[in-house]
Amino acid sequence: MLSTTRRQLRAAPTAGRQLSTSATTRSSAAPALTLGTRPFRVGIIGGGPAGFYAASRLLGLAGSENTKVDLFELLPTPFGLARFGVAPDHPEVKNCEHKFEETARDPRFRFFGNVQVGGVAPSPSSPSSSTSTVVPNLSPSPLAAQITLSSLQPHYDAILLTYGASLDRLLGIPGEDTLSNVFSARSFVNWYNGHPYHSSLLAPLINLSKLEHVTVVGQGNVALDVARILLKDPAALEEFDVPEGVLDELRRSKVKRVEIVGRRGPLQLACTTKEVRELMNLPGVGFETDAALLKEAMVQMEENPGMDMARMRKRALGLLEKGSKTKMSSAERSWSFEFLKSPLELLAADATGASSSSNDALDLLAPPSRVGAVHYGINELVGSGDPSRLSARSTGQTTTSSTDMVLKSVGYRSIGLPGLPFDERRGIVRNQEGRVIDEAGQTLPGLYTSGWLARGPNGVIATTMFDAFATADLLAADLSSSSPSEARPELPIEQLRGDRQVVSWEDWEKLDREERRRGEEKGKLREKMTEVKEMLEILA
Amino acid sequence: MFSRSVARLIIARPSPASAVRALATSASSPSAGAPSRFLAPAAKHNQLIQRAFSNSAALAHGGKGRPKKGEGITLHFKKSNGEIETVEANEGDDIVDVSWEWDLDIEAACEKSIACSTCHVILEDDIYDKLEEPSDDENDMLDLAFGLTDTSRLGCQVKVTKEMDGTTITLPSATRNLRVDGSKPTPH
Ligand SMILES: Cc1cc2nc3c(=O)[nH]c(=O)nc-3n(C[C@H](O)[C@H](O)[C@H](O)COP(=O)(O)OP(=O)(O)OC[C@H]3O[C@@H](n4cnc5c(N)ncnc54)[C@H](O)[C@@H]3O)c2cc1C
Ligand code: FES
Repeated sequence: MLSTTRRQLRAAPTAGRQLSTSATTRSSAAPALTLGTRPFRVGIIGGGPAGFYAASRLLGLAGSENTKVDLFELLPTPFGLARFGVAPDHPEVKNCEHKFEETARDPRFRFFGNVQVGGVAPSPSSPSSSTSTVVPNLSPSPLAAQITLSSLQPHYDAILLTYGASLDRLLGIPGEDTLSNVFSARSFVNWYNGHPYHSSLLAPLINLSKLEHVTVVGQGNVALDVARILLKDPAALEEFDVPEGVLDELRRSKVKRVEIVGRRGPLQLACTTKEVRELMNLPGVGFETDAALLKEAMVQMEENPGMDMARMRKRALGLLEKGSKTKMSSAERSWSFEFLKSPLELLAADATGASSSSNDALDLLAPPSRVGAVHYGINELVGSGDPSRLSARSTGQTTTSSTDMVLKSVGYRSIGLPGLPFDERRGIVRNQEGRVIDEAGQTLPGLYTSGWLARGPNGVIATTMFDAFATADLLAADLSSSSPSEARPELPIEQLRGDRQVVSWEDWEKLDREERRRGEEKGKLREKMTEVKEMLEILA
Repeated sequence: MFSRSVARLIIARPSPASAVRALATSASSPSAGAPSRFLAPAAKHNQLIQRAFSNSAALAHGGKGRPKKGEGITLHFKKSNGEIETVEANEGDDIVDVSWEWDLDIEAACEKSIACSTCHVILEDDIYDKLEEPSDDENDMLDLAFGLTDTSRLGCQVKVTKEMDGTTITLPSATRNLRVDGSKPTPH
């Protein structure tokens, strides 16, 4: 029998007990959805998990024998954040790539890498990128072929937009844009994962041998990934696919302390138990947090068993209470969760206490000063009902903590394409269950969106997968119930690409083999190529 | 030294040989003068396409084989569309193996590494209670499973036992239910 504690842990609905059935008939497994063997052409824009899962779903549907899927990807390399987001020491998470590879080898599928769809211009109200942030998609790439959405449309019965969320949300506080050693956590992740747009730009700016104390703003999984990579013994990363240059930088690192700061409390944490557990188990790394706050949160937890994601929150709090395997007293390095703090200003190292954002003309000539401290406002939680949904309100009190580097991890937003309805507030393409809609709520026929671009930048690959499957089903249902039209003409890619090189799936496989070969020489999974130029030269 | 996780990764990789085999059985006639290297071979790929309709992971993994008819452990799978499929499984295989063998459409995105939760299954109470408690790692992933229940487990962590004979395993539906009658193609 289950113990009571175990029952309590499972504070989730008990649907399964009603769901179970003892029926024994074997019914036909044929899905209701079929593409009726009509010669549909579907274009997919963005080769991350959403794009690939949608392609695999479409090509797996009954009646898809004559369906063709073309996938366009900005980079010569496929897989989006599975390659450039997921942490290098989590290779198992990247196993989804095997399914994507199978889909790509299907003769009905074509990959067009190094193709930027858009002619992308940032919409006027979208936030600008800060000096130390590079946005892959904000301006036309000098190397990728440029194709506009409207030039694709005549060639496809449906176009599915899955180009993700490339912009970082900003803190919008003084010092954020002007001080050095302030990065978006995602740029930092892209750097250690060898993203071509970030590797060369960030490499000269990051000097871990000069800093001990890192502040991460935001408490989601990305913040925890970053902390783990900074605190882990670099030797334990060597076997994976961290670029050699990054490994060298990590070996030089003097980082002793990582503070992960959030504006709310322990019960409102956005990270998952798996990531917390990994940090707690890191050899030689201690953890500390505000014990009184934690205790308060535990009490609230007990009083509100029905709260959102109760099971995960309870298990996460349990981990925080138990603490790190290595105690603080014997730890060489450490991390902490700091709660109820909102950064108000980033302060320069050399002007203690003074704002660096003064308009002194000399500032323009001098190199940017380094961040030296964060000035925080202290919050309290307000609201009623589900305690996991309480919001933060300033108490009017402030505090300042010193730091050597600030990594911002407060969310992302997408970028619109000309002619595409865009929800500026949420930073996503306007859509209803994946069908693109205009401001008036009217469906734009033949246009769909899925993944982070459609739902916002939340959720693990599994979330993205379910969303992509559902959108693919919807797209297929719409197509198969549409009245028959003339077959679409094949895309004249040779004409559209101009003098730019387009990367085929076979080309990518060649790059993949080369990366693995280089990796093998060093006893690691792969040595990523971090420059598009090099990739294209190998393929030329 | 390669750690366990890397070793697991390498083992879990579908062998290129199996993919090549799949292509070889299908590619019969060469493409009719493909003008560009971006054109997929236009050959008839009926066999491959037929196989591609089923769970593509099964294409690479192929499962672990089926027991002789009448000698295996009978399992009923209640699929997300409500259909029941009854299969025979080997004792000791895990639920993902069974799915790969019988194309049951369990995704298993991380290929049994306890890193994805897409192999989430719901067991009957008595079967659930007879199993060992899930590990911390499994519970961490179950935290993220859609439609979690009191008797949820990760399919890749549950081995088939004799006691399971005749039990029903429910595959939770996580997608929005779009496969309703309205999605059937209109005749034309
Ligand atoms: C740092 C980080 C770590 C993560 N770690 C995990 C994890 O451990 N486990 C997990 O399950 N999930 C993890 N996730 C979440 C997971 O990565 C997402 O759920 C998933 O990648 C979203 O898929 P997507 O296809 O919508 O977007 P993306 O993966 O971002 O794919 C978008 C693709 O579109 C391309 N693109 C962009 N603009 C254009 C254009 N104009 N034309 C053509 N192509 C374009 C991009 O290059 C990219 O390849 C992580 C996310 C981040 C940010
Ligand atoms: S297959 Fe990924 S957790 Fe079981």
